[in-house]
Amino acid sequence: MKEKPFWSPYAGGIGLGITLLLAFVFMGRGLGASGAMMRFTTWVVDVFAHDHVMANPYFAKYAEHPFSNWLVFEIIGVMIGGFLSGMLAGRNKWRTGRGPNITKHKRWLLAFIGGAIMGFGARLSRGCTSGLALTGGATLAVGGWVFMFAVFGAAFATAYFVRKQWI
Amino acid sequence: MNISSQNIGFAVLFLLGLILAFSPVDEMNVSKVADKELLLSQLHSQSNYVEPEEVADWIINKEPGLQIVDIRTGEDFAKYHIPGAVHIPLERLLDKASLEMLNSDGTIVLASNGNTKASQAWLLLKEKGYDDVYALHGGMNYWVEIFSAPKKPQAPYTDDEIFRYQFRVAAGPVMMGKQVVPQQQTTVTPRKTIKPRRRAAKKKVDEGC
Amino acid sequence: MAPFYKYGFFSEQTGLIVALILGISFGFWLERSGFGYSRKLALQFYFKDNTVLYVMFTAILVAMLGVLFFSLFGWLDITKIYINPTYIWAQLIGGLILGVGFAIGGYCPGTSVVGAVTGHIDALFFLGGAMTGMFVFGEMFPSIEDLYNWGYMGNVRLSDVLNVSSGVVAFAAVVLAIVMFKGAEWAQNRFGKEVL
Repeated sequence: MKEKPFWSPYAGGIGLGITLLLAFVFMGRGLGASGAMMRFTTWVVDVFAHDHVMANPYFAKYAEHPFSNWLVFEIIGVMIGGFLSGMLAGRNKWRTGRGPNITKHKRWLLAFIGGAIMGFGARLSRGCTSGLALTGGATLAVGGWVFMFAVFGAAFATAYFVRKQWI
Repeated sequence: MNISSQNIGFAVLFLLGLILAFSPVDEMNVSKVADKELLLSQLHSQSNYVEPEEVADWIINKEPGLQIVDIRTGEDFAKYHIPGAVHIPLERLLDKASLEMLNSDGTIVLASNGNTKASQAWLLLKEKGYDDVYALHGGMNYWVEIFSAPKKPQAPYTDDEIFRYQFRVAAGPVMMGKQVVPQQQTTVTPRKTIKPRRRAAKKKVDEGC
Repeated sequence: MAPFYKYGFFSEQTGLIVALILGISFGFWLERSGFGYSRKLALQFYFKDNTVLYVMFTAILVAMLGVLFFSLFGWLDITKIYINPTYIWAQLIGGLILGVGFAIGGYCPGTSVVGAVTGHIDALFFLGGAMTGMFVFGEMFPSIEDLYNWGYMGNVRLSDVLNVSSGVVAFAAVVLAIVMFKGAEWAQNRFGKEVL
């Protein structure tokens, strides 16, 4: 099946905005992603070193069973929704997103490094682009807006140094 | 992409924003007066209480925005109080000076001798629009009982009971206002006991991302 | 009166089903906009593809206007909505770190999940990295706790800090977004559009 084109970004934005609005109307809270990952990380560590998790105040905070948490259910939904959408548009196939001037393996390494940096930053700021920038932005929370401009500022500044990866 | 439909979209957004700028949207927000039925149901289900172990955990972890308000008499307060507590007697709770002392953004824990007065104060503050308020379950009497001389659980005890006991022993000296090297109890603290149990207390775990 | 959950219209268990449904919608729209593609996301930072900016700000505006209008009509109790607490310095520094990670890794946590389920191998590596980063943060937590709590301001909103009504702030956000949309469009034409 040929891959269908993406929908207009404004349509996507309106769809996401309505989803977020429904989250506020039904639950009184926004969406998120990194909280669920933190829970999953803690769960993995917990399997190997339970006492270690209990001794660390930060891990202990997340040491419930991962399926008991709202965000975890939401992320499972994201997986289903993303998969369905990709399937309907014929976009589900194995590939590596990269620019023409970088090898697959270098891209994997950079993805891992970037992920590690982001994971650290997301925990320090108590949220990621969905949980803090999007949700906090829509509720006009001060932290959300400060965070959003910090993210874009740092990303634009870093982009020059990794340009070989993308363009 | 159709340029004109995009501009129509921008115009609509602009107009909606303009309407909001001149609308009394914040007047709708400040009517913070809590829903009476909700308050009654919370009183009934006892979800207005917070357990002493949980408060102790917040103190140890230096929970930001935590304020403990002691509503007993000055005499009682002078004898002993929870470390870091501020003293506002119940009869002066709604004075202007007292309300200025209260931390409206953070978590307020009300401590009385027992349950009754703390619950009454809880209701008053809730009606004033303070959102994150709890009454200390069992009051100071229970607080002293469990932290100054914790009872060892009887023979067929559960894991939970023994954790609870260990936590009380470990946290006791600090909670009674004695000086102890702080590292000691942070490592001993068995976290399992103070896992938030209540819907209201769950707010402490980050709700965002 | 909304929010329904906080007014006790349904239980915590039902809330989890709501979470699943909201998540499906969230993931669907992220994928529809092409957010599973790391290169598409990263090209934003070279002004070659403005999808991230358009989608994100449109979503923020729709949700923001929705919340404020519903509250204006008396349908939604805005005081019951969770406002992210502000720790201004921690969030500023965390945002800077996260931005660096975004440009290098090409994903953010939510989009990497979408990327992973649609078969992007780099998204799987990114997810592994993100979990490693979170683990490192947890390990370091006792020594950086002060940084983590730096600049606590409570659950403040822009309207509290700027001392204007939230309607005015919302209007300013709309104007800012439109200016950014137009500016990005101009920049895209200048730096060369590249549509994936």
